[in-house]
Amino acid sequence: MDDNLLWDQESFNTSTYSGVFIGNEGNFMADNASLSFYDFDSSKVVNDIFYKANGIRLGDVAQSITIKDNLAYIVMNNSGKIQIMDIDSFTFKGKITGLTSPRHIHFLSDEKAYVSDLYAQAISIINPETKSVIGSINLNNGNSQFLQHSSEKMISWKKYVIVNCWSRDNKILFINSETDQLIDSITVVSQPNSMVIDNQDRLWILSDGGFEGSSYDHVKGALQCYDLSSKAQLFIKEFELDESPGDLIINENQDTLYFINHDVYRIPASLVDTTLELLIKSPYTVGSSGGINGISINPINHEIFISDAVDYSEKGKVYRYNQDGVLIDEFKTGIIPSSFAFKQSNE
Amino acid sequence: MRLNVIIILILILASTLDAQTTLSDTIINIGPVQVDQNHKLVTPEKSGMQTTKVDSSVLAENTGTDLGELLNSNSPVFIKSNGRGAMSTASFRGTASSHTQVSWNGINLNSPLLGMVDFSQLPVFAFDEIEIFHGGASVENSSGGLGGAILLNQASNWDTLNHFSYNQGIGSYSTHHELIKWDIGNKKWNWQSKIFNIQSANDYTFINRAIGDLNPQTGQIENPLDTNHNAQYGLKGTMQAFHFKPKKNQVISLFQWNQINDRLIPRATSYEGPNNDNLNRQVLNDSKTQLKWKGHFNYNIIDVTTSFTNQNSSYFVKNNVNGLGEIPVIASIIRQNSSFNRVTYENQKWNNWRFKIDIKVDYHVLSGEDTVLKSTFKHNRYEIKPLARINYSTKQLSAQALFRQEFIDNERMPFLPFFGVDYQPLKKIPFKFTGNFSRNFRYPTINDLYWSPGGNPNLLPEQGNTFELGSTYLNQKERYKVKIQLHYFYNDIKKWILWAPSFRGYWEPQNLNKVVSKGLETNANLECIKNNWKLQCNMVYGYTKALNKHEKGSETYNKQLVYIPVHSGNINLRITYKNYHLRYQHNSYSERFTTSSNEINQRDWLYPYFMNSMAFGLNCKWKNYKFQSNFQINNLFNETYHSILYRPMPKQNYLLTLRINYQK
Repeated sequence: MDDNLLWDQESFNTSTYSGVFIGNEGNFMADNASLSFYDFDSSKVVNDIFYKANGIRLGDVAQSITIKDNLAYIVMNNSGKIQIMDIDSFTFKGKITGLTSPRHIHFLSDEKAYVSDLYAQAISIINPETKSVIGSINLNNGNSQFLQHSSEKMISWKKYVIVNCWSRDNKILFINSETDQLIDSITVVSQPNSMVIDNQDRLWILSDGGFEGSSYDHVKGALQCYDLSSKAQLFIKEFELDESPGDLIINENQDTLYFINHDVYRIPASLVDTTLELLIKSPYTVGSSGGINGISINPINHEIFISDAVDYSEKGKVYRYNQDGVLIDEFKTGIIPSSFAFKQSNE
Repeated sequence: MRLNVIIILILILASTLDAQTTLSDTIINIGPVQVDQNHKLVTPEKSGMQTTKVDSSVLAENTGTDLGELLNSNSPVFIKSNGRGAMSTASFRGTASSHTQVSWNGINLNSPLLGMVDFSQLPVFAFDEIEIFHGGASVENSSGGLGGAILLNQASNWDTLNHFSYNQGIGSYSTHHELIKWDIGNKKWNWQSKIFNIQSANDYTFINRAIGDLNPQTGQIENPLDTNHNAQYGLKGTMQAFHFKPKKNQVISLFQWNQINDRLIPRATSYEGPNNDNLNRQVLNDSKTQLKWKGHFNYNIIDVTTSFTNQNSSYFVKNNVNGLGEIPVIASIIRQNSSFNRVTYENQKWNNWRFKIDIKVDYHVLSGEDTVLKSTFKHNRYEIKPLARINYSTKQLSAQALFRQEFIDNERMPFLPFFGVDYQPLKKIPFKFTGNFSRNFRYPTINDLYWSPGGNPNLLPEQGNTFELGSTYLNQKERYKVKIQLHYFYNDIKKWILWAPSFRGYWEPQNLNKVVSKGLETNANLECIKNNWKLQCNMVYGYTKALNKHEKGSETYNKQLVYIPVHSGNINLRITYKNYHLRYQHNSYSERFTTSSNEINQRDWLYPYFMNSMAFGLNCKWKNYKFQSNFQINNLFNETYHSILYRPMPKQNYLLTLRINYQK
């Protein structure tokens, strides 16, 4: 046998399709991350599209997917690079390399984007047009590596880019995107893993609080709300100590929050009505392996997509629900599906 | 096509051999067929057991390699190797890496922390004897060998003393080894010493299918020719054995084994981050000392052994952070200090009966810390492992029962019996049936129980019931030997421990319902001598079904466990003519799955591979000196293959070995 015999390229044209890309992380050090595409009209999924279209593997640990114009930027955490792919033909359009442990990409303009990083103690500044690293924002806080900022997700608000620091950290950073400098931060409950901004200019942050036996921290996870102008805390809701909530997202109208805490919950982005609504029940019992590990909402029709890694070494599953939590479809993906990016038809 | 290549190579070789014949003035005697110590066909202490002793010529030919490579090409044990010099673990009869128990001079080498043994850490040169105990037979040595056990031993040699040898190997990818051995002594005492050094830059090239470059002219995707960076390894150490006979019936022995393994761990092949980032390095320091007293008193044999071992293993992952130099993101050190104590008593007073009692008391102290993650741990483990054996044998029948009752941290473990029978139905035909039934268990490792995060203190020991049935035909005379073995095994393992990520976001071990591994092992060994020719051929074939029986109706139910090939086999052919030798080796594995649901698609599937290697060389003698040379071609047909998913393996490569031996 020969590796050459495994080449079996296909060509795709999905310019008239609306659908969702699913990033399948794959197993660490196994180089088996992959990308799936699910078409809304036909309810069909094609797995492993990057490999099928290009004959090259996506890489090791697909962390996140971001679509900008007609290109998908797939951040490959343990490959130190970002793969760029045409969203209609799935063809390889280049890559941004030389990144330490990249997590997410956040676009500021056609010529400027930030890339967060787990270990670099910095955010890289990228020129997406030239596909090169053009600078970095130093996040070094003078502490040992144990307490260095690990930058994760990024959101723009006015001229600022807000960054959450999850791994062994409790900070939300404010970066001035004009001067590319860290200018401020707020301290939140340990290990903020996700955040969103609502339509009232409030920042909602979800923290998992660490884990049992962690040398960093193990406190109750919490959902917090801050006023962005005053940076004052407006609201906090704590979870139980053995719970590990994550993946806070917001709908297109920026008035309803969704997150995973074993099951999927919904809560209005409001300080008045803060009742948690159990929207989708996990098929797994608490304590078993597997479970819901990713969530996203179709910005057009508000359908909810959740991913399930099953046993982490077989094909994962994605479930499609309407906005009321009624199951519409389910399908199999690659190994450990976890990130989503929606594509609209060009018609 | 391939056959033609082989024929041409053999012809070329034959002609060079012919040309060289005149150069050597001494012909080294080919010698008689090696007597198979393993089988007088029916032996009391191996009743019902399937065991294989690695042939001394195989040991000699693989002396510069590690045990993983040797087992892969000469035994039914499947070795899952991460590449040359990198972590290699065993899968014996479809079981997990922690189900192969490995011992050196009776000391268990399986880490109490991880449960498994890394075979790349075990240099073949260091050991004098290697014996494989298949399946249930391992109960004699320890619990936990649900797949089997591998015994590494130092032999005490009182006959061929006072010799010195030096072995120099030079090979592809800046690989070299230096092996020095001497023994001196007399009838009263002897000292055997070994020094070894094995190093490789391991920087072979490969077409990197994980990286695409866009050709600026054509717009086509190209795969670069890449180098296996950050993969160098080195293993160096010493092995000492000192034996002293204070009286004729008593021997006191002292063994000392020290080694250092220093290696880098290559990054994912798709890595395109900065060159100085994601650097992985592992350094293992290992020291073992053993003191042993053995005495024969009429029908009684008493053996008292005490050993102390010390291991330090450090692992670093570093990134080059701008302006700050190399910053570790992982810097962990794990220390293991263990004391192994053993008393055995054997009685052979009655003709047909034999009795043995074997008591081991082991104590482990494990500690470690990660200076970056600021985590520390300390755990002790105390094990008492008594075993009783009773044998009954006649000329045609031999049976034995073993009873093992272990206590770990004062907790009583499941009782393990082993019943085995060998039966030769006809006196004149050297053919026997073998059968056994045994129970076994494996206690969770310290990591399984206490690793933070995820360790699960409520884990139960894995429990196995094994049933085996086999037959052996062995006919050995001075000029030829034929040995054919066929064994069926059925292994039912309950509460199998598997680590899987949990909803908490980290990996946790859990007890699965059940795994069944069953299959066939066959082995054919032929040797014959005629005039100046000697032909040796050994063939191994294994059929292994290792099935997940955890959850009926799930995607993974009844599916083959990941990385376990259903079919595996190897052929070793060796032809000796006067003082020349030619060896051909073939190794095959059927497809392997890397997903628990056994997806057959291009990316998650490991295609079958067929590896071939060839070696030839000559020996000559001058006064008290013997010279031996061997030239080995690995991956003879320059094939692409993978032992684990996507990890490139070297193409055709070479190793030249020269050995000089002085005998007083």
